[in-house]
Amino acid sequence: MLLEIRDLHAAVEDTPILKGIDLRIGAGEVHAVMGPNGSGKSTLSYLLAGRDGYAATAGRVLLDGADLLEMAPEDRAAAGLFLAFQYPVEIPGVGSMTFLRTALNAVRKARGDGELDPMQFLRLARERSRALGIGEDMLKRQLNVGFSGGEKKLNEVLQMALLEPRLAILDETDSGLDIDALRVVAEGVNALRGSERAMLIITHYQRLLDHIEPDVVHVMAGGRIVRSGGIEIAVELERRGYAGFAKDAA
Amino acid sequence: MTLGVEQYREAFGAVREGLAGDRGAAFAAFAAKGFPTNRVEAWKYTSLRPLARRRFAPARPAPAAEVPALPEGPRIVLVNGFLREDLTTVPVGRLDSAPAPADEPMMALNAAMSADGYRLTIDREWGEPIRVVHATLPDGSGPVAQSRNLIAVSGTGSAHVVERHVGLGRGPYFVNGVTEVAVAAGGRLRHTKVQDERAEAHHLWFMPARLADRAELASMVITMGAALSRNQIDAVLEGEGASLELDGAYFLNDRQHADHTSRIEHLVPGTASRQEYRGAADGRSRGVFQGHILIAPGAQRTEGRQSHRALLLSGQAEIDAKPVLEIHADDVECSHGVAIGDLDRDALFYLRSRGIPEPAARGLLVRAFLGEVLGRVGDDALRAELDRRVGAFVGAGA
Repeated sequence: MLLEIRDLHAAVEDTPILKGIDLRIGAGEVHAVMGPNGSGKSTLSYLLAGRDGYAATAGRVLLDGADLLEMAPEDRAAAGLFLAFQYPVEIPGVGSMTFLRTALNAVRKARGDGELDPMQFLRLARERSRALGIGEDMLKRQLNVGFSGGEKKLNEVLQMALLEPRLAILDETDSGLDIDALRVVAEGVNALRGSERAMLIITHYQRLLDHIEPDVVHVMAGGRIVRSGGIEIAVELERRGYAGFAKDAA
Repeated sequence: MTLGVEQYREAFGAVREGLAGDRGAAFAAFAAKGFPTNRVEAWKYTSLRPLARRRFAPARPAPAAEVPALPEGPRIVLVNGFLREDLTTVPVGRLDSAPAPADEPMMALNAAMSADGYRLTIDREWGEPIRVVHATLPDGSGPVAQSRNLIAVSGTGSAHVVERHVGLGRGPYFVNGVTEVAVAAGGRLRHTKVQDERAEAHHLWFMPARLADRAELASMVITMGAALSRNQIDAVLEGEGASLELDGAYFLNDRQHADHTSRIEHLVPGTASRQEYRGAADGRSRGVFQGHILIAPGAQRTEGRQSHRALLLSGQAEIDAKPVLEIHADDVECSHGVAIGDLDRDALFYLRSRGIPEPAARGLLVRAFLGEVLGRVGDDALRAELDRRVGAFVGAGA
């Protein structure tokens, strides 16, 4: 199993948010977790990535058999976890290329691959950017500063393409995107699907799943997964709304 | 009982015979107040009480001292506050009369005891920076070096002067210096000060500046050395259209204490000043920023902007900031802002989530923060060196 979440409980500032999550994702699979606001979706993604202030109170998370919750955020990245942020952070004064090279070499070093020299890096970054339709000028700017919503999300996909994670978590990747930008971002994500990689898509709306088709859909409500199944669940959600599912869970 | 007066009266008595002009009035001005402590408003966050208690002896010329890493090109070299003509490549005058006494006691002490200093006249455009090295040789006596320098820019003059302060060895020493700046109508001066003193140094430096009509002064102060330091700029914009930029960056560690104090007086209409300081304090260090902008009655159409932002990188570090706007005219645009905080947690998490280890992530953010000011250093080699120094400071390497 690539990712295994067992009976995960978590609290944020003493308020229980996750109340027993069980989730297993195999290599090559794409899972979607859908849920209304406040269901615990974002908590789950931040907890997996290791953000300050998000701690498990019970349960385990294994990534390729390794205990994820014991690791610092940078070690999780090295172990193959990647979180595409809902709101990528703007960092003035840090150049995009400097950031990408520092991140890629840190991860390569931790994984026992050699660091890339500046020329090797430049070649790789150009190749991966071109594949996503990202222009050189975007890479010359400060990290995410003044980027449009679409550019920020594309930049997340570029980072994913460079860091080559085992598990990519996409947190509300469609938020703030118009339909054209969404299509471009989704194409980029789809190109990164592969038999060695798993994806976990966190989303409120079905819209994103029209573009990135999941193998399994889970519905989250009240800090638990209340239903799992195929894409038909997303369709049903669209029709009945979350209220109907929450009732099932109660 | 005024602090430190007895010790320095004795030292003054020993050297006054050899000094140019009569220094009695200047010493009296010092003796009336003595070393300031934090009971004096202008020194509220920087007490010189411990410094006043230490024994220092007037520094003597060191004609044979080796000064390593001398810059190429136009340069002025002083050791222990005395001009080294053998190492200086620019024609300069020397201190040959008594400086005016000052209200500020440490400036008054300098006026009383300064034995030498360069007088640089800039009356043409200089294509390359003029580099000034102020070196002090700690010889075990605890030397106090008190040079008195002058940069005078004429209406046809334009130059970049880089003053760098270094120590030539281990051991305590005390620098109490002054660089006066006078920019005549239409003249332009870019001034960069790099305070890179040894860890045991005490460093006080004063830069009184006067700007005539349409004169331009752009100052950059970089502070990274010395156990205790204060840089004080007192700028008077006395000519219409005069423009002043004061930038500064400091990064401190261990128990370093660095004070940046400025007072900008807009005396006539149509002048502008802009000030941006950024700092980072780690360990048990303490940074002080005091910025006073005064706009005199009738000084209409004045612009005065001031910003100080600092990062506290450890729980034991401290930053004190005191901005003061004193406005006696109504048609002015003034602003000031002070922000002191930790590194942005969201930014730090974002970088770490991409695999960048915490120390390197912090380093990237500190370099980026200071880089917003250091990026304006008007000399490529110096800018690159400072970036490396900040890199070493944050432990991330270059």
